[in-house]
Amino acid sequence: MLFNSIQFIYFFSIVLVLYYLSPFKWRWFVLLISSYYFYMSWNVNYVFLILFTTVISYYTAIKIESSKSHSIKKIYLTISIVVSLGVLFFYKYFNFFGTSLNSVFNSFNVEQQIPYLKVLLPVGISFYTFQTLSYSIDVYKGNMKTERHFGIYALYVSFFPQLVAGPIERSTRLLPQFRVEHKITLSNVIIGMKWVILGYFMKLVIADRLALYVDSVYNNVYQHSGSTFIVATFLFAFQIFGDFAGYSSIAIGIARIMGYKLMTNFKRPYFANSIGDFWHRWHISLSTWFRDYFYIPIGGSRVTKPRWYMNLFLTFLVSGLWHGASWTFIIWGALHGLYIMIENMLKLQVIGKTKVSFLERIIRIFIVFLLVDFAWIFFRANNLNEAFYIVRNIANISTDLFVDSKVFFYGLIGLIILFITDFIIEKNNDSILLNSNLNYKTAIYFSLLICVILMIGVFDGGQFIYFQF
Amino acid sequence: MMYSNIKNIILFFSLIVFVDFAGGYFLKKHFFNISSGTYGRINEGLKSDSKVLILGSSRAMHHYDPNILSKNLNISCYNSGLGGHGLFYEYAVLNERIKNNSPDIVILDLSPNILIDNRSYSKLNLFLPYYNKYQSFKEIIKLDPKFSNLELISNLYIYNSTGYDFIKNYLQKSIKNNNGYIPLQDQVNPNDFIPFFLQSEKIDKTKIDYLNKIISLCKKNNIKLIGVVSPTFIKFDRNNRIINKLDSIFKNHNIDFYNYSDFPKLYKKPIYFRDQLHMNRLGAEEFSKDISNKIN
Repeated sequence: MLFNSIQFIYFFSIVLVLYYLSPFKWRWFVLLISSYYFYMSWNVNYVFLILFTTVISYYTAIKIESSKSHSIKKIYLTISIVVSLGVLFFYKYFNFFGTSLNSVFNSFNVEQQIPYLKVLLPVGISFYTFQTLSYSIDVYKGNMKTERHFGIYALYVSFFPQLVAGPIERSTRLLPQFRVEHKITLSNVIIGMKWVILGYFMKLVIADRLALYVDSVYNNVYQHSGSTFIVATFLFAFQIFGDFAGYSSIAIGIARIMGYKLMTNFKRPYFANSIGDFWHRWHISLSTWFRDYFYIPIGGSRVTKPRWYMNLFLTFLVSGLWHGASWTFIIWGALHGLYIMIENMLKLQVIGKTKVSFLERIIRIFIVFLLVDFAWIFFRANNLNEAFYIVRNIANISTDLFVDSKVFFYGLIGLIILFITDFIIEKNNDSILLNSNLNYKTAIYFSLLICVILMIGVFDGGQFIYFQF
Repeated sequence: MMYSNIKNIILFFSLIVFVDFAGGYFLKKHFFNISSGTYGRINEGLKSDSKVLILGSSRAMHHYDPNILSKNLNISCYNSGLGGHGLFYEYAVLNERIKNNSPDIVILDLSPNILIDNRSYSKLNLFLPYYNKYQSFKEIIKLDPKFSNLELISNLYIYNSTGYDFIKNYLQKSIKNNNGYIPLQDQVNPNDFIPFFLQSEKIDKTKIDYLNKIISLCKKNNIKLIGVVSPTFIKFDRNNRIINKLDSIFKNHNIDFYNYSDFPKLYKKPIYFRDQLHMNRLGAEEFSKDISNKIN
């Protein structure tokens, strides 16, 4: 069941009515059943997988908290991490590592072959695994008291607005919200609806429109050439932004309508001043997760300089692998690791509201966009050969450009609206447009945005890109 | 605060309703005046008062010259063929033509894949602008389950993604002079020609139902219907699986059915074809002369 489907609108309307009609003590149950139903609409069998991960992390956390000995705490934490990552590895990475090792064996004429498993990647596995991991680690560190109510904990792992593509919520932030009674308020409904409308705009008007061009190029790379690759890669930068930020925005909106506050996952990433700044704006819930549970534990910046650079590089490399079991994602992560290493070596990093001149800001935004967009080639390409084919041929701009006038026409309208919207928020803040009640300006803006969606949105575009992760 | 919120919510919903209504009204007023491009073809076809109506897909559009047919039959003729669309569109156009200016003769060009080609379902969104105006188009749009009643309430949604066509169509040359006929110019090159053939795809029962509906409509309204499989460069339906099925349907209803798929005068002669399934202008002229003689 996709957010951009009529079925979801019916589903959410029913859940909302049941949720607010239920007494507070049963609301967790309504949400849990709804979340499991939502997940089962993809694959009924994989619901047992999420249940298994939930049970293991629930009981190990209790054991961690109740154990007096530090070494026993550590054993339970290790069990929790190994089981969660083991499931993730089996479903997501086994075949990747298997085929990669088989290639190595073949090159050394070793007959041993690792079998290829015919398993389907469970939707959202990377997201909910990271949520359970952060919970176990937080309990181990003493940052979080265990959640003894199994139903509420299971809801934390499977909360349907953010179950399949984030934001990856922290237990410290989300779990306490399930313990509070949320009354239906006009303010929450208005704010939630605004996030939902903006999300649908980004998905239907930007992402799914641009996908028509990007897919036709990236799925037939050998039929295209330089200028087409430049345009397709430029458009992909906005396709993936519209797709992923659109999903997050809808997730934040529907949670807010029910009274829950999810973390902001995107903050206008293409206005970033530096690569570091980009990662403070792009998939924030993932980048902060890696910062807190990977980068800092391996030493962070409180080590020697070479080791610090290595820590930065490793963090991005693993982040690339998190995205997908493919060398293209690893190279994508490695490129970002390389960018951030060089940026720190040259002390070029500027983050947030640090003052730089207007001209310098424009130049920085342009360079950061070029670097990020170049890395997107690896992220989007179907395989490594095609990615390198694009890289080798992208500069050959003398050949014909593949033109899809309809995509360019509607895509341009969408991008102009997106730019104006992001520019207004960037100059002010979220509260001017999204996290505030309706004033006559925002009423006009959002009603017109709905009309734009109706007029130029793509309504049969299909699923979100990040579902595959 | 509460009062201000409610006031702005009312403004928000009122604006959506107003823009949807006003925008929909404006688009409806201008949409049906478009006389070029794809929508122009459909609009002009629906407005036509010709006595001979040619229906079919791209093969109809490129194979029948209405001027030749008009001259030989001595009655007006219009080509309403539309590329990529089959029996659903043909049924809707015929139904609406009967309500306004009923034709006397209908030439129904049947592609050799007409009963199995599933593309026509996913392309039904092309007809959304006709949803509120024509009952027959409403009926065929409902064949695609992706359209729910919820989104079809909107007056703007039914014109989704037509803005570009509005602009482009106004810039394009009108098709009026050719009475819907679009001739093809190139010639197939036999040296780099790779034929493709009908496989074992299942016959779509809904399409047979719509063919029967077209036949019933013509019978009920005393319209002479002629079923034609126009020439192909190399036969697509090698075993005549679909053609035999069409033949039996037409025979059951005592209706003329002509299979020109391997018409000796044109078959395998590159000079008359643009590709395996489409004739060029030369081929279309020869074929139009022949079919008009047959009807006469």
